[in-house]
Amino acid sequence: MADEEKRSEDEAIAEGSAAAESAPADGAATDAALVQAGADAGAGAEDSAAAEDSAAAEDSAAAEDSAAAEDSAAAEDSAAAEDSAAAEDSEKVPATTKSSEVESIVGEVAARSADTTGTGVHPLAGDPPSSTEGVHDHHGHGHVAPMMMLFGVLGALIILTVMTVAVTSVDLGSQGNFVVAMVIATVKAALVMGYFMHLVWDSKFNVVVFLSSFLFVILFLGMALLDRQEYQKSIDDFATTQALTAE
Amino acid sequence: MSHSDSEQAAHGHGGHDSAGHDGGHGHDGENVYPYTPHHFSASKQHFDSGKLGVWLFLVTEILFFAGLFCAYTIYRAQNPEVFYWAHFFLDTKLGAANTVVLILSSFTAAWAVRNAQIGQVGLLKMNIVLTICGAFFFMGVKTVEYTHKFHDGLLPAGKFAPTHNVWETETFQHKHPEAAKAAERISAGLQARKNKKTALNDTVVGGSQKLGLVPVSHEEHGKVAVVLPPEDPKTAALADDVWLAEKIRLLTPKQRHPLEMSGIIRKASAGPPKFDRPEKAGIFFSIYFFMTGLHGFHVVVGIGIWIWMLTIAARRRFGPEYYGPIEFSALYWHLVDLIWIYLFPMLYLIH
Repeated sequence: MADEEKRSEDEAIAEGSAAAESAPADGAATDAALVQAGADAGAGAEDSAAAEDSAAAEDSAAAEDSAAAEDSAAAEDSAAAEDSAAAEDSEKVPATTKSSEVESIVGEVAARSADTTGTGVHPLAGDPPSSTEGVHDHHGHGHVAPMMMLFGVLGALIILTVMTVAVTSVDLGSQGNFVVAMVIATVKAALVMGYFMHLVWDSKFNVVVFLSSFLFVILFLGMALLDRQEYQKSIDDFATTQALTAE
Repeated sequence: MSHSDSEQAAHGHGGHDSAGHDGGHGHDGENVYPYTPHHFSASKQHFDSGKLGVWLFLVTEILFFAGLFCAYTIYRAQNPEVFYWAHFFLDTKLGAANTVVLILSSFTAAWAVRNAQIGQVGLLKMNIVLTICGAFFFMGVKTVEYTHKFHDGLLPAGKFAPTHNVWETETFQHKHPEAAKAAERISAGLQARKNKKTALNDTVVGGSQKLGLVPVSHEEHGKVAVVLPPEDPKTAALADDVWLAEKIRLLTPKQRHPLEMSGIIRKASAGPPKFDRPEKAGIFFSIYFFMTGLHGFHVVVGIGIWIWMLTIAARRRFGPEYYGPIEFSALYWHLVDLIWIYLFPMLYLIH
């Protein structure tokens, strides 16, 4: 029985990712399918307990209906969680673990469902952005960027590039144009760092490590700029001496 | 306890292998997560240590580039006219095209990470190939740009010998048409005076070949050299610097301002009249070649890394448990993009 279920589950996963690959640009529906596939991968992890198997069966049933919207997916997940929670007291802990796995991939939807089903013993439920932190026994190490977000950031970066080129034809004073160009560049850099480099979801330590480099760059440039007139007189003197000897 | 057993224990799984851990491509008889070296207790620890290492590497990269950014800042603060003068020799369109290409390739890299995380093998390979294509396109454009610069003598300070004057560039003529025409006239006038003097010297001394300023060949551009109206004998009799001072005094603000900003002429208060490119013009191209060159080197290294990733993607199965190599390569690639995001306005969009 367990083998059978596993096979059907594998099929469901294959179906999910096939659907995802065949229509990569198809926004929400694709995402829902992917999320489903991911959730199933997570669900498939627990394979010892019978309660888990039944939960996995629920999930794979949901996945087979590949057109299922996110809401219904969440409903299925919460149903599965309820089932396994009701099964036995001793199963409660793995059930929570399972829902945390799902949560790490599904994100907000699953987190909410875990909360509402009363299995919300999980300390990180309801805090989806950092839900991957501190959970060591789960699947997936990081945040999976949704396609819509990736396309959104791409669009914003290209629009900002066009803007920064266009703004050069407007005269904003001797320093104005430079400042505007640098501000736009910094917004672009922040988008790349936050979303493409996943810093928004990364551990705070990595963020501190990376941003500390900018602190030192600012110190470096600031000190150098403070000092820049210091030797001008010597340079000028040298230049005049050179000119005199040349003559 | 064997290697694979300890992994299993660390993951808290039962005694037998299970499928479905790696994004849905079940392969029975293989370890759940076969790529964690034995000195890591779990794949999560493996991933996190690798990632911290990459972030630290990126910090050193930023500090590495900071040296050049510092050189840029100081020289621009000291010689703003050099940067204004030099930017007319750069092609903003090519720079912008490269910016967009690098952003696109950063996007495909970020997408590739997503593909690796959810085990989309086909899309992962496609996105890696697209990222590499972007990198090659970028380097292709760089090659075109560098070739033009080498051809025009726009080289780092030691070898700097520009073949064109700034007012002959399309960008300058487009932005400051009046100033370009005025500069052309003054330049031709100076040349005529020089030629006359050389001719006199030739007849008097008998062949001094001292041609200080080689005339710019306008024919190269298919343009006709400026034909000057016969000069007033009074002004023709003036000494060179007085003549030049007079010409500069007669410029309208629209003609004078761009020439002043690009350091071709200077304010009367700043010293004797001059009509030449800014003194330290070569500095810009030293900085330009070092900054874009170091960045280009990083792009080339990036191409190598992505080709390596392509071979790994063919051999290994990526999934939510194992996508470190793709993630780390993408982080490096985004940093290369990040640096270009700043280089583009700093070098190409000087106003």
